[in-house]
Amino acid sequence: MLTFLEMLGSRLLRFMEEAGKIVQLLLQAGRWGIRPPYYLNNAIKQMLEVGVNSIPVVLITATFTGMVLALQTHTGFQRFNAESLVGTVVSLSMTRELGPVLTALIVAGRAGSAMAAELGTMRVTEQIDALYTLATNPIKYLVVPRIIAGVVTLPLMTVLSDIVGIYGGYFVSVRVLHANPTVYLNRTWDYLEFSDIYSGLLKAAAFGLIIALIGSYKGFYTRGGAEGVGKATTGSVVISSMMILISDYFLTAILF
Amino acid sequence: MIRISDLHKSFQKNHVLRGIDLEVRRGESMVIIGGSGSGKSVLIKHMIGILRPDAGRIVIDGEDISEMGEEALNAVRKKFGMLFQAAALFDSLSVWENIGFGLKQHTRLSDSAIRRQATEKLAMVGLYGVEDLRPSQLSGGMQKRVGLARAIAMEPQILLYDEPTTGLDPINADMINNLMISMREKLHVTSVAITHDMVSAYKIADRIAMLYRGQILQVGTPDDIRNTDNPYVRQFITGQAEGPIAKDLEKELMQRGIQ
Amino acid sequence: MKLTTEAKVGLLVFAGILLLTFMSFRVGEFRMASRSGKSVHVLFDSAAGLTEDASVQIAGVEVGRVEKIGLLDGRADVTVRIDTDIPRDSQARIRSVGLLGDKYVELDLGHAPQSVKDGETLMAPATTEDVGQLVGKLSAIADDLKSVTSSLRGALGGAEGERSIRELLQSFHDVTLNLNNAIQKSDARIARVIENMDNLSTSLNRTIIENLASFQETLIHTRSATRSMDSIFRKVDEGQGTLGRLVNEGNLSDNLEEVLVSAQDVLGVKKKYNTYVSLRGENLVEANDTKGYVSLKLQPRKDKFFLFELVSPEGTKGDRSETLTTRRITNTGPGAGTDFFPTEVTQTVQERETSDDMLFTAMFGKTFGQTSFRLGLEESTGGIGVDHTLLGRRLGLHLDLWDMEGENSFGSRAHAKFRADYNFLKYFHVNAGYDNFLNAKDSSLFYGASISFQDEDIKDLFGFLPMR
Ligand SMILES: Nc1ncnc2c1ncn2[C@@H]1O[C@H](COP(=O)(O)OP(=O)(O)OP(=O)(O)O)[C@@H](O)[C@H]1O
Ligand SMILES: [Mg+2]
Repeated sequence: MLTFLEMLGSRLLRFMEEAGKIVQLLLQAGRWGIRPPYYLNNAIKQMLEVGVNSIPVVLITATFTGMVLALQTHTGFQRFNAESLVGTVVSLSMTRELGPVLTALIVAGRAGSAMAAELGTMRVTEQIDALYTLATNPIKYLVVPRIIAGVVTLPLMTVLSDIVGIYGGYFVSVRVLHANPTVYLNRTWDYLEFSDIYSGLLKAAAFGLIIALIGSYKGFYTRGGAEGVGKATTGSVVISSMMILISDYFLTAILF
Repeated sequence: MIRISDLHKSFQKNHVLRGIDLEVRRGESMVIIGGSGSGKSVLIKHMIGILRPDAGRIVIDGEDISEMGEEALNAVRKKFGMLFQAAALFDSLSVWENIGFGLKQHTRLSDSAIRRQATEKLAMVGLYGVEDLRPSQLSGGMQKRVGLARAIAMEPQILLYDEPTTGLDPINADMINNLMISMREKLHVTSVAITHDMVSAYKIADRIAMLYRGQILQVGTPDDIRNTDNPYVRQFITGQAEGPIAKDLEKELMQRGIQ
Repeated sequence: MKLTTEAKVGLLVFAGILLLTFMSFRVGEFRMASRSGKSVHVLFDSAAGLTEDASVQIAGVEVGRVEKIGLLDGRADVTVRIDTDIPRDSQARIRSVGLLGDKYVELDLGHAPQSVKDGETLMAPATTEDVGQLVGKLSAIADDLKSVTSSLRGALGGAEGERSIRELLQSFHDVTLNLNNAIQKSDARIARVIENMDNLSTSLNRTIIENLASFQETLIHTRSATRSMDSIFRKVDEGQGTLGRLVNEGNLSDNLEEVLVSAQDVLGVKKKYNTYVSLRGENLVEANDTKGYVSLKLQPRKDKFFLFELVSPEGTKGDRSETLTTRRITNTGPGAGTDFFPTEVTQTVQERETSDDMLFTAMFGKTFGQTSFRLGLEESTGGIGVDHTLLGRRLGLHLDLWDMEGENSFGSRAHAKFRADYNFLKYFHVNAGYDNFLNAKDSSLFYGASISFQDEDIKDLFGFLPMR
């Protein structure tokens, strides 16, 4: 019993320590990020990784999500003759929820893990130490560009996935379920408000921060060789996915 | 130039450095010898502020860096060049970008000028035509030499070498020794080198320090070390399996119940 | 050509911003963002239901949007932005579209040679009431209730008494559909009335009669359960003259008219109102019976409401023969005659006394804070009730007392019922209580569930069905 409590206590303590370190890393990134020089090239390179290279998988996911959303809501709404609202449901769900969250989860799996692996390898092969010896702050050089890339690209990707999701739903509704295309598009856009879109994008930016921060944190503090890198990689995906979903709830509660 | 006093460092329960006192004078070439795992690399990383001491002082050029802020420390680090034991090249950058990293960050040189500098430094370590390769395309010895080229690229006042000749063929190793000597003689560089290679140590050192169990056992000129009375140092420099170091290890194992 | 990293990232940024701009301009709010055209003021007696950004139309074609709604000397000052030229003597009125439709501003073009200028004020007709609309809505609600009743009977009657709420919802949907169809098919007249506002004052009376007659026709072949409704509307029918008078002169003479005026208010002609529709099922545990309710609550003012309920009879497994005797009931409940309990409300309603037919409730209620008192006809006999809400209106406690002489049940004492109702999710409630607890023999615990919609909800749910 006592050992159990002890274990619980030490777990809690470790959790707190980790949370504290993450916040500390964020603060340091903020501190180092605002002063020159700015490693713009690094940020652009990361945007390529986080953004451009994730586009195909994000687009495919969003398209099929929109499609299945249309199919499912159609089935449900048909039961009370509300088929014409399918467009509304698809556009609202995509912009407010599924666009940002699915994009974030995919990017967390794809780019967040890559960040953890890359920084982790740099840590265990002393490349991060080497940066110090070259009078270059590794948080500024490595972490800040990743965070910028995450915060900037996630909303952009979300816009893409919103659009393809909406038109995926449109395709299924109009081509497969033979909805009236004009009515469908009117319903899609009339009930959508700009606040739906930008709150989704705000969420996406927050998720981008989470992904980059957790990925960097896990990589930056990697220990223990190749095994450590592996652990950091999986850890980053698990933690950032969880944080995305948890913060999603709170962001939704705050934003709406 | 570098003065270390009563330096302590532990990793969890592993008390690695237990009160190091060491002074490296301006323009001097100090060689640190000692058994594997004795804490040489940890010591050298303290000198450039990658690791922070648990206790003790590290004074560089009159500035105490042991509790210095990260920005001020960066200014101090610009005086240094360091070669890592495993080279630690940036594998996302090409060879010339690795060598020119410091120049790129801290000077306004154009890329082509940096590239010319890199080629020049590569020639100094006996390499050519590898500018555009990635570190992963190089052999271990080549990586080491590129790492050395990177360390000297900024023409620093202090050079830290962590086993510069390990993993090199004898000819290349001797070439590196000559390079280190000429760096000191022509550029008056202060250097700290870690090595297991006693031939190289005698050749490049003004003074040699022997690190054992987290403490400096003896500091002296190569002649002092060659004719030492200290049985530990004697066993180490002659490279014999039998001796006090082996006895200590045996005792340690006995204590822990391992035969 | 191979794209550089920068070019790829730039493309992503560009595409993202482009699509975002595209979306911004497609979403509802931004469509009329361009501030072109001219803004014109219209003064209305009431702009109830009109919202900013509502459509402004000429002959059903959108020519602008409502920009602002303000108050000027006790009248609604509605600023509309239109992008066509219209004569200066054009008139504006507020119309609505859809079942519980969205309001819009319709412009009737005048004949003056000059166009109206930016910032000028347009004429609004003295009355903005759309009587054709009122009649349409009355018949809509009646049709609605009729179908609900029949489907409720189907749902709750006989051996299949345990049908689920979902089917109730389905029937609710059918109702809307039927209603829609009925309106679609039957009445060119309604459409004409709506289009022909100029003829309103002269043809008003005739229109009402015609509409009520055709609506009466649809009620003729109803089943027994709907006859109670039928009789109510026959009553209304008889009062045609009064109704016409009432609309034309606003001369009120008795309580029927008062009710109707309130109903008129309620139906969106003048005042703000609330409409609640709910379907409720209860399972009486000890009596081994089920009861179903369809209720319509009209709330013209915050502290005043009318409750109409159709109640499936108790003992549905029993004898279903119909007794068509009717009788008038005079309310003698406590508190009668005070200023908030109009004594004679129930006198105007006929009810048949049948033990196995649909029961009808029509009550008037007055609210004080969280507590309301109800008085009127309850389950086809006189009754009173008290409601109390707690927990931010999520929990409702209801105590009812009716059938004072014990006519509808076998007990000798009045039928008393206590019900607690908890709103756990949006439209959904669960309830539980103790029925007929004054008569030990017939008392029963019960539990059940209900769905209820406010007019806003109904609009949301069904407003998309076009009323044409
Ligand atoms: N980052 C670290 N975390 C934990 N322990 C460390 C760390 N770095 C070094 N150590 C421990 O410190 C001790 C000394 O390590 P160090 O690398 O200085 O040895 P060394 O003298 O350089 O040996 P070698 O000649 O083999 O390079 C070792 O026991 C090692 O386990
Ligand atoms: Mg070492």
